[in-house]
Amino acid sequence: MTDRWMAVGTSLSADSHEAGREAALAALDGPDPKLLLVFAGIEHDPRRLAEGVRAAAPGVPVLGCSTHGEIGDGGPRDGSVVVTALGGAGFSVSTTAVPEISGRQREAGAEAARCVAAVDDRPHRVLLLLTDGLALDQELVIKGAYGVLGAAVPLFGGAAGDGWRMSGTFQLHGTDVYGNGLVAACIGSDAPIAIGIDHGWRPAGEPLVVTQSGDGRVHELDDAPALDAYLDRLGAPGDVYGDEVALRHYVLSRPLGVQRRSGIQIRNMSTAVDVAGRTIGGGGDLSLGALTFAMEGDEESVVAASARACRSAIDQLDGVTPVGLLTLSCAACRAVLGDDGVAKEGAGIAEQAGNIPFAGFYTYGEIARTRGINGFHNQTMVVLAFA
Amino acid sequence: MAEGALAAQHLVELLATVSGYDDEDTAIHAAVERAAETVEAEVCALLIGDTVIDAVGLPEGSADYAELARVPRGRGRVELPGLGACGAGWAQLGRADEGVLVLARAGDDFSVAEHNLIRGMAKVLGLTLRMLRRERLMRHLYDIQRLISRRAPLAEVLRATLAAAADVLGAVELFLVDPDDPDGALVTTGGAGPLAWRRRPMGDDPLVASVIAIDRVQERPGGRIAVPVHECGRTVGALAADPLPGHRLDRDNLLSFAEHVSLALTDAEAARDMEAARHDTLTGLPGRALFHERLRHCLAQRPAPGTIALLFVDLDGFKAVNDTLGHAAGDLLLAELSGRLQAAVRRGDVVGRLGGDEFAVVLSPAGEDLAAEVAARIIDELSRPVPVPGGLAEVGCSVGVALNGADGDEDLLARADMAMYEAKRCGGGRFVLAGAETLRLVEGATLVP
Repeated sequence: MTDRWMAVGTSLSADSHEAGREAALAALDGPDPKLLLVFAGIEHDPRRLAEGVRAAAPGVPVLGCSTHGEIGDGGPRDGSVVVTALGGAGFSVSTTAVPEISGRQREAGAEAARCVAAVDDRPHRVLLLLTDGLALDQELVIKGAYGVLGAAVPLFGGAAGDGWRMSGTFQLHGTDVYGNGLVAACIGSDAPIAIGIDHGWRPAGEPLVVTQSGDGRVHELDDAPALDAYLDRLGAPGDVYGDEVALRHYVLSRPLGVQRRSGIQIRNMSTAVDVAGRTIGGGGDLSLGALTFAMEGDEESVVAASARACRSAIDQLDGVTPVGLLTLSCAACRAVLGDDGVAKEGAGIAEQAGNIPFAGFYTYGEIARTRGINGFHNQTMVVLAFA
Repeated sequence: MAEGALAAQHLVELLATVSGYDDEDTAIHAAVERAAETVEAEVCALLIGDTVIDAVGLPEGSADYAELARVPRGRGRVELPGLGACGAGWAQLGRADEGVLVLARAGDDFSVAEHNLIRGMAKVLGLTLRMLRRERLMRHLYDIQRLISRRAPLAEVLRATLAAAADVLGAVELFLVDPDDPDGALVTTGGAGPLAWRRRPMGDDPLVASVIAIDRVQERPGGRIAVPVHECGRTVGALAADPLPGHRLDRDNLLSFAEHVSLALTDAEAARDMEAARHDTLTGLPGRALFHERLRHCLAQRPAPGTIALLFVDLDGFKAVNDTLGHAAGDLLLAELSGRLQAAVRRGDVVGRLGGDEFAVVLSPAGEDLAAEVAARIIDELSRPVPVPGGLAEVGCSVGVALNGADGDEDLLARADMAMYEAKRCGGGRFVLAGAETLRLVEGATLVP
């Protein structure tokens, strides 16, 4: 019997207090609980939800956020509450919350990372971060945390969603509720922790070089207006060029790829389309000279990538069966997959997990830093496996 | 994609990233992060000698960063706490004292192509930092030049110059030959607040003494440099600095700052000369032009009406002194009475000699009561006899007083002048107060409608 455990509880109750209480009670399936992770639909009242969780597990640290769909056993759902409990003497946990991160993302990341100092000295650690998905420049949160921790502590987590309402997410720390916050937990473990990262997108044709950028947007690709160069490369239909709704829908399944040494990183193009200015998003670090690709994929490739990410995390543990998996996928992927595809993705995750408990959510951006100093992803599956 | 083309892309990206910042520390940090991203290294640092200037990849404040100083030149391996065996890359930014870029990647060695990229990134960073430092220098020099051209007080210009020099070069010392002791120097290093000068025998710093004696730049190999400072072409001191640890002191930059100290000293001397030319040589009081300028300055502050008083003072009987006791006695009398005039007003009030035996006083702030009080005092003080060769000179004075209204300096002076004539017409030895709009005369110490 290992001295670490993870268990997952789900509630479909529409009453936030009851949903929190019910899911937490179902997750508390072992001795010495150390942390409860709460992933909930935006429909829930975050205060009542947090109080319900606390009612079930007084004194246990709680971290959580709103989602664009919750991932758990039985397939992805909307409006549910999924609580993951980590416990046992083999884990130690410290948590923190940073309010109002917009405009100071780097400092917020650094502040959150300092909670590592409060964790017992364990051979393996990870910093779990849940951020406001509507805050810009999420990669700065990662850089801030990395600046404090360095490479020895991997980073994992996601940006909270709000069911595509784009009006406000929530983050939970204990019974405290934040809207533009960052909540974090440093988890120390006696056993290895592994992270799998994968996406199902492939380049459509030749690369496009960023020839003008600024203010977090790409203005020109190959010396042409960025949006037009990107759509031209994809051979987009004419109505997409000038219709914002059609454009948003079209680019959702055609993200931007950024060439990095170990492969192509994916950036979501759909959240800030700019029909009038002909610019594209992609993040603040896309400077002059960056090599990008218009990317394409389909249900099959995205579902396969999610399964690969799970397998990668499990395989990195060298044959040791994980006590649990945290599985975070992208809200934009969900839109590409549709209800059928999402069900297939959930089934693929469940198949890889087998008897291993797993839980996660559809995010507005995935955090997984294992190599180098980058760790913010879009339209990518990230999986954390606790041995 | 060809590796070479990718390398070129990475260099362009780094240049774009770093050149987007105008402060050196932020640019260095951005470059360090970007370099690490480019070759997917976990650790990157800029080192000068054994000093870590900026780094990422190890825990904040970690003493283990010192291990990076042991990374071999070129490509190699290094063992880092928490990361284990890492591939390592090392490349100079430019000259040895400009620093080195060190990268470490868990597991993999850097390929030859990657090491070439690291070399390229180090060179790009070095070039950008040189440009930024140049820009910083130019910004400082521009600020100093603006202070000089605005005729800021010499102490302020020197303080700004020394602060700028310290920012660019590290601590600098300004030596000026002690005017009271040619073998001594007044020395300051600048800093916050007013300049603190201390006296020091010139011989204490032979390098500086030599610079001042021979009017040539002197430097110790790899060490302290002193350059001469001039005032109106004369060598009056030296600016000296020591290199920061691990750095080479930039002689040209030190020369630039010394030139600006010289410019400030020379300009201050020229300003003193100009100021002197605008003063009356006999009495030392501001002459007509300077008095007008100061009056205009007072009025330009838009004081409320009736809060500034102008006193027009004309001596009674001065011509008789000149005629009977001679012009020399007349000059002595004017000099003495000028002193009494200044003594009769507050520090900060303006006394000027408009010409001949005409004087004027600006009292600011002052109302009718104070103006009347001062006018009466002036009449008393100036009527006391003055010993001159050949006897006692005795004169009196008539005073016209006008308070500011909506009019300008010329009209205000004209009203005070008219009031003075009215006082003289009434027999002299009295003052008359002019009304604000029309000449409303009040005589003596009693206001008469």
